[in-house]
Amino acid sequence: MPGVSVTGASKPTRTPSRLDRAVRLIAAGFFVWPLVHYLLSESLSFDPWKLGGWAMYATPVPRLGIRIAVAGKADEWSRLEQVPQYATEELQTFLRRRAMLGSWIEPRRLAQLLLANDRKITAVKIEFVALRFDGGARRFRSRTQEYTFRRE
Amino acid sequence: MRHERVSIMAAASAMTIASLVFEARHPGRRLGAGLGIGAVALMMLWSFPETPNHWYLLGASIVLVGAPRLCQSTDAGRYTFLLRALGASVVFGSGAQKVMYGCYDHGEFLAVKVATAEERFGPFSALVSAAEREELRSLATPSVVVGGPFEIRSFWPLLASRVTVTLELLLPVLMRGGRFRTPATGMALGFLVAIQVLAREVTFALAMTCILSLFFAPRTQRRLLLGVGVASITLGLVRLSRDAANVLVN
Repeated sequence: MPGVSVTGASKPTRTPSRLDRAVRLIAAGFFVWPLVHYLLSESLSFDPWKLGGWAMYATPVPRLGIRIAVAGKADEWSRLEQVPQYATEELQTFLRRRAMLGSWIEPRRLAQLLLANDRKITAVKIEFVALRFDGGARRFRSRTQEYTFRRE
Repeated sequence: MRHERVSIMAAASAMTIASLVFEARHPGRRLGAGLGIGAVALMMLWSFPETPNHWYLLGASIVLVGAPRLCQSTDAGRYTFLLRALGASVVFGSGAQKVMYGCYDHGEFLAVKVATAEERFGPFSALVSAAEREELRSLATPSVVVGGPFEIRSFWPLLASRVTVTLELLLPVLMRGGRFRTPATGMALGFLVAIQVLAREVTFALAMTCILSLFFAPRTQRRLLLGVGVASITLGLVRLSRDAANVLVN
């Protein structure tokens, strides 16, 4: 007879609604997110402890170093041992944001500030050294990224 | 900047209080949920990108609690399922991240913490033999880390390191259902709270207790929530009195 279970043992199954599917997708997303977070953090060098990836205590917080060099009219590079007073706040803000968000954040504003305040500077080179822990080697490895900005 | 922060915090606090008031009144529930979600969004925007992870956890939970009220939905089952999934994913995600970064198999993470003599890891550091501690400390100062390898050889800390990852991966699977659900959740909760309290991440421990309480029977859940409420008020009062004392001294 149509509509009647022959064995009588099977439960009637309900087709999942669109909302049910969305709920399952969101739940699956919660479990996939740490993997996405790991891949993004490794490729963009952002802080694994941030942005809700639950990687606190999974690896040491990366350490960040910065080297700034400026070039004059002769295009000779000299290292800037100390950042001028007018740029210290921008440098601090930038370093904090860079540590959190990695290579998403570029030092353009810092370079522009240096170029705008000193007419003798024709170009600014900013180099970052990020020390990230390499679990396989059991030691810290440095990753360097360099940016060069020239006066237009 | 300071004034801006105070204004945002004041606005978020006002919205949170208003959301609680409206939440208690049935016709105002949608407004209450909206204000609660708005307050969390404001606080997260304000703190980005330095937002602590427990805020993401609280933010997601408040959205999941508020969303059915915003939609006037009476289907609490789906949202409970999602909140449980969120709680289990945090435990599982922590374990998965530890495997992916590879800092627990030979106690690498703990070795770095012992080497840099970080105060909050003092109890774990005490488990490492004195000779090994000295050896590790020669590899680093609090600000400079050189050489390696950073690894632990002492038995107990190495075991603790490996057991941490195993439990974080295994317990969420057992929490899915069946007769192991309650003991597995109890174990996950006890383990998480102990680690977070040792690491002084109390807010995270309290938020996770609220979420994981959904895996227990209603009576146990009510007791856990009562405990979280008492702990939150006590900690809030301690912090307030400490701040007030600082203001008076300065």
